[in-house]
Amino acid sequence: MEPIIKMERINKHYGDFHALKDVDFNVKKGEVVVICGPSGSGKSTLIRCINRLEDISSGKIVIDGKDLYDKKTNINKLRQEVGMVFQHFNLFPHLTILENITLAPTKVKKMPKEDAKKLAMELLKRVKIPHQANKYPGELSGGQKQRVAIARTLAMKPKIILFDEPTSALDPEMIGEVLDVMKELARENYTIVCVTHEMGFAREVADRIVFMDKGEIVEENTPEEFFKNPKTDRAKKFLSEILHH
Amino acid sequence: MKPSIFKNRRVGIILAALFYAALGFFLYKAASKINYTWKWDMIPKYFVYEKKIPLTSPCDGKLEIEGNKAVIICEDGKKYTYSLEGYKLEFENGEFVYEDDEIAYKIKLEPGPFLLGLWVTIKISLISMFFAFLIGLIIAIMRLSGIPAFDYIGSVYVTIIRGTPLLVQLFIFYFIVATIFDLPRFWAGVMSLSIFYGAYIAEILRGAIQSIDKGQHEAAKSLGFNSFQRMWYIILPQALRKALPALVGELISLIKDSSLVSIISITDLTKVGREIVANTFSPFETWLTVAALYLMLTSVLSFIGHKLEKRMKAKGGI
Ligand SMILES: Nc1ncnc2c1ncn2[C@@H]1O[C@H](COP(=O)(O)OP(=O)(O)OP(=O)(O)O)[C@@H](O)[C@H]1O
Ligand SMILES: [Mg+2]
Repeated sequence: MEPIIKMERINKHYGDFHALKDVDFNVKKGEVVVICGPSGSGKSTLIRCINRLEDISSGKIVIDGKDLYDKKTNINKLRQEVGMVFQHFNLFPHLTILENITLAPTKVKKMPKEDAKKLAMELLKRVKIPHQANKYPGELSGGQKQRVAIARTLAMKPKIILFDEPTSALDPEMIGEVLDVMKELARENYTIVCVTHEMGFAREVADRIVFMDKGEIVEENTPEEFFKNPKTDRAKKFLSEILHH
Repeated sequence: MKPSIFKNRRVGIILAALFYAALGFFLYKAASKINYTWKWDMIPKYFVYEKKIPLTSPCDGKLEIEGNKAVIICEDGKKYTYSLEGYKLEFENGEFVYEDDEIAYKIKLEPGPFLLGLWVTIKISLISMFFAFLIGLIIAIMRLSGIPAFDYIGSVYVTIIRGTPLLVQLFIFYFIVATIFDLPRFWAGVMSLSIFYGAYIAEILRGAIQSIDKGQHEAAKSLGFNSFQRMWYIILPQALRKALPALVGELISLIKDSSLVSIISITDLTKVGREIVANTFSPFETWLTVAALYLMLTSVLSFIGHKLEKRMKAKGGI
């Protein structure tokens, strides 16, 4: 089966800095992939290339059969199928929770307001904050904000969801509630690429772990294998660092 | 230790009031030294005055009152009927009237020069605000478009406008642009105020748009919004909230600077002030009144600004 995310020989430069070095990365439909690696290794850069928040210097990216850099590809249309959840939530502070969720479906997809509202209320129930619809983002806790951000992404009914360290800006006691929602999504047929250092989450739901260092994919394996027998010294060192505190 | 009474708010208000009362009294005394006679009582009639509207007889004849109507039967037999609604009669039923005699009159309140001038100032300010905001928004977006030609067009405009005096620009619009394109002076005034303040508003909006977190653009992109939608639904609303206090400040300046248009003979509040002084030789009362009227306009605007700001604060910050 053709992978839903196909990245071939990706290079990315920031000025003189070589952030991604000949990276090949494929994800099958429905697969849950966790990316980990030390700070500055290029994890964010890699997943931000998937929805073109970053442009690559060279290489080829095909998402759901569409070449990202083909002139005929409508990037805004493609982005509707690729949701993204950010470390710092990036909710729209001037809109209520409900409006945060309904804005894209009504404006981008032209969904009728009533339908969008119904969808939003269902999604808020799913992320377990049904009673905050009329508040503003500034009035919610970090964990609630991130769950709203997930609901906002789900409202576009994406096939792929990208997470970039969704829990690392959260207070420890709120990490669990966000991970619970993410685990549920992982068990459905969403294709998920998640940058995270939550190894418990990776062990529980990931089909594959990708370890990056210095702009390269150093190692990929199933979670069991990766945790039990890391092949490279770099992965061993990384694991001992994050698991020992 | 007890806090100093000078830190007390109420004491502060009283002291400030005393300070200005003393200042006013001093000015008043100084004015009487130069034998200035205050004539405040002549000011009201420049706001509204009573206009007498006469009803005159069209011919020599006899006046007959029938209920609410005056009928004049002329000597040549013609009959004229007038409604007396609101009129005060000056003749009696059956009296003889000559042509052009004032049979009755009524009093109508008419807006005086102060009100007419105030209205012109309001009109010119509101129209200029609208266009200044529009120009400012367009230029701000041009400068941030990432298209170098647009950016340069915008930055040259801003540089020229901010680097020359408004008064000189007003003359250029009045004596050159308005002459070439045959524009009425009112529109020359509106154009120069709009273009001048457009440049300042452009810079305020540009700063505000740039200050919006990169994450907002990214979240919007990731949801599939196109660049227009991102600007319109997500970036601009936040930028406008941030820029509100600075924008209100510019609009207040615009109202005040609109007084310059009196120089190209637009009958605004300031021009009216000059005319009244010429008629009454009471510059003190007139200019104090003009100042109070401007202060009223700017206060209303800053009040609205505060209300808007408060409402936005209530709506979750930013
Ligand atoms: N806009 C940019 N301009 C210049 N350099 C950048 C930019 N974005 C990222 N980099 C550099 O590219 C490298 C990879 O960054 P990236 O954000 O992908 O790392 P990461 O693996 O996500 O790290 P972290 O765990 O800290 O988020 C880093 O060295 C970073 O300094
Ligand atoms: Mg990162």
